[in-house]
Amino acid sequence: MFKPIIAKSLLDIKEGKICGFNDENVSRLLISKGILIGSLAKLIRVSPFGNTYYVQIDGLRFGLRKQEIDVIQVTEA
Amino acid sequence: MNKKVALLGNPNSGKSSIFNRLTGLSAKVGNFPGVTVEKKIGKLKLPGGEFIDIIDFPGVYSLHPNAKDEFLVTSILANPNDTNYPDLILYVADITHLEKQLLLFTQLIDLGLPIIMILTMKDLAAKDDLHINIDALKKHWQIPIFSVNARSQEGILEIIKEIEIKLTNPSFNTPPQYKLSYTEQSVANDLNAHLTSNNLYQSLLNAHYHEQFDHLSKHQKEKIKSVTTSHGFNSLQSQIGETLRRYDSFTNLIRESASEGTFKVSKLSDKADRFLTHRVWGILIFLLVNFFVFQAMFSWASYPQEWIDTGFTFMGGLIKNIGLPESISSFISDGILAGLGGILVFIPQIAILFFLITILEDFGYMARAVYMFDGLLVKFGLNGRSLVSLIAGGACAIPAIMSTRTISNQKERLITTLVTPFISCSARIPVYTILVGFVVASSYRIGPFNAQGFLFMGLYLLGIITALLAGWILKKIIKSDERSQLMIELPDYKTPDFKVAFQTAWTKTKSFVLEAGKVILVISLILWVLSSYGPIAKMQAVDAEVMQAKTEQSLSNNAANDLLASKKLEASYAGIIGKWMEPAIRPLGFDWKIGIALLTSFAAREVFVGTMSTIYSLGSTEDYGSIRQKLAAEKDILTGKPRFSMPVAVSLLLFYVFAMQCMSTMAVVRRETGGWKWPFIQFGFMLGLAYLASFVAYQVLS
Repeated sequence: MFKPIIAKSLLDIKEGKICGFNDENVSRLLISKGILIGSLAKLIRVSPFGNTYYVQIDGLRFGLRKQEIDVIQVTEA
Repeated sequence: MNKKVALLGNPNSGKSSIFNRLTGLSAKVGNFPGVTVEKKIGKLKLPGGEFIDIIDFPGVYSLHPNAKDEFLVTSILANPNDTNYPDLILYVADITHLEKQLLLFTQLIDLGLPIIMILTMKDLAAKDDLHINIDALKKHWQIPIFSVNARSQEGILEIIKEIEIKLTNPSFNTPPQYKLSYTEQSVANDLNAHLTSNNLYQSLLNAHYHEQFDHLSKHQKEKIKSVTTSHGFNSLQSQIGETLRRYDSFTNLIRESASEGTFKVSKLSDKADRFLTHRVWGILIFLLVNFFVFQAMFSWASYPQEWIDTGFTFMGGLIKNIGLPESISSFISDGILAGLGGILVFIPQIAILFFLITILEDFGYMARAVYMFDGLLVKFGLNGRSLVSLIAGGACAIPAIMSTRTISNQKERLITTLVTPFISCSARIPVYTILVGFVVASSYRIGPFNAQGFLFMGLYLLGIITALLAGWILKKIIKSDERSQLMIELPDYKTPDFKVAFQTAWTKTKSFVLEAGKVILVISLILWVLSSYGPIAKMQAVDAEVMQAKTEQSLSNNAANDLLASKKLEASYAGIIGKWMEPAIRPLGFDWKIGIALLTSFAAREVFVGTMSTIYSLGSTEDYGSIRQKLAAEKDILTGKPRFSMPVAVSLLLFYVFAMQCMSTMAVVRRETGGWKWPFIQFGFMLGLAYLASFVAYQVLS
């Protein structure tokens, strides 16, 4: 059976496999830091003043703003 | 000319430790020509006796740049004629995250430069039971690879020997790691003809960034533009395509040569972060850490500061007593020595603060602090990364402003530069110390605490809050379409390298002395001239007047000298300017004497104390107690009330919290922003705010 890939936001499902980016300018910077399609992403916590998130991607950790996370599309792993 | 070896790698790769072990204290900080990005350069003697230069480049992820410091790396490596273009590259990577640290490496291979790879954190990898088949990697890339421990000197000698071999016999057999797309290939081929380069990847970089590159002539830029347009070259898509293809070229290689999944996250760091980046605990720990940092800075620095102070006073006295003509001995002791002392006295605090900040950075904590405060600072036109500048501003705005270069967004970098001087720096402390006593008595207590301590804290808080509010206003005024981003990597926590911290503190302090030192010295010499010379007739009249007073009131020699200094200052050009200023500063509660001090303290704020002691004829006394006593006894000529009443002291304190009052900061802002426009705007709004605050405070309180 064909199973459609449904891209979701990391903010909603907290954990998933990156399946795409929806902004080329931002994705340029994300991929240069090793945040790639196929990487496993996990949202750990929100920062004390909000808007910035603590995210684990493959073996690395990042502080990413909401606008940056919005660019990352994930599917349930 | 020495041969140049470039140290390159990602941020957090352990590059600084390697640099430190190769160069030690021979390292110097300079700036790369034309930009304000810090350049660390050190000498290394090879076994054969030859000296080479090791240049520590800023840590970057890719040759496709983001921030200003990253752009610099690309611009140097795209131009073989650059004075910093290396003969050899040492590529440093963290073995525990090797899979994510090779993008830049493969780009560097494609530049055709000889490369030696150094893998750091061997001990950590061993602890995590991570083994990488280094022989397989050596064979694949055909380059020498060394792995070293995070902290020991082990393996460094082998690296140095290899550097010598590579420099005497620069062989290069590694094939390009990225095959250019058809369009890229055509563009690069065409450009090779126009540029003196024969390297395709270098030409491709010129195609990407020709508009920003200074090494290209206007003619070359136009040529490149027409080539890229005619081939339909899309820079953004080309970058993304290149980056992804490069990852494909090494991801499987690393996975195959590693003992197990390389995605091992340090469990310890995760546990620590649950606490250290917690919404509530994280903030409390941050405040506590800062409290200890500043506490340490002030208490440790107080001893060396005292030695420096005593030393300079001693030398000044010595010079006055060796029988030189008065004008020369005054020039040396009150002009040059006072100026030098004014610079050197800040060194202990700046060195200690940078030592501690580097330790926190190396430990991995600073990145967490940046992550925690980004959400707050963005609201005020700043970036999480501004935090480092704001903290450093507690010692001195000059190195603080110099560290804004890691902020990629121009607007956020500019706002950080503009608001950092509101943070109370160490030069304000002597001024605060003298004046708080006139606001609350030292015996006054709030609970178990001394009320003066609260006032001090209040002044600091006022500076911080004003910095944020000014940022908020500037955010509304300055227009920019440029995207702002954070995207900060939070590295594994690791034991800080004290040698690196020591080296950083040492080099930063050296650069402060050279940067700020020149300006402070020149300004203090100008001010010395203004306050030692005046219209000749007036100055002679002062001499006669004091001689007469001396015989009439039978003053001691010392008292007469102090009186003479005070009267001469009044008659000098500085005194004339002070009196001329008086109508403008009268509404703030200041008289011409304070006016002179405001003027002279423009060299550096703490000069205020010295000027006050001269003008109230205390001679060379710098003892705070006696200065304060003297000031307390001073009466206002117009009202007959004490000159330093509470409202005047409050007004003066506010003035020093807000006003720019620092010529060297202005010089640094000029260099950072590339012109006099922003330093003057900054000077204007800080002075305006200072005037307004002092005016309101004085009028309301008196």
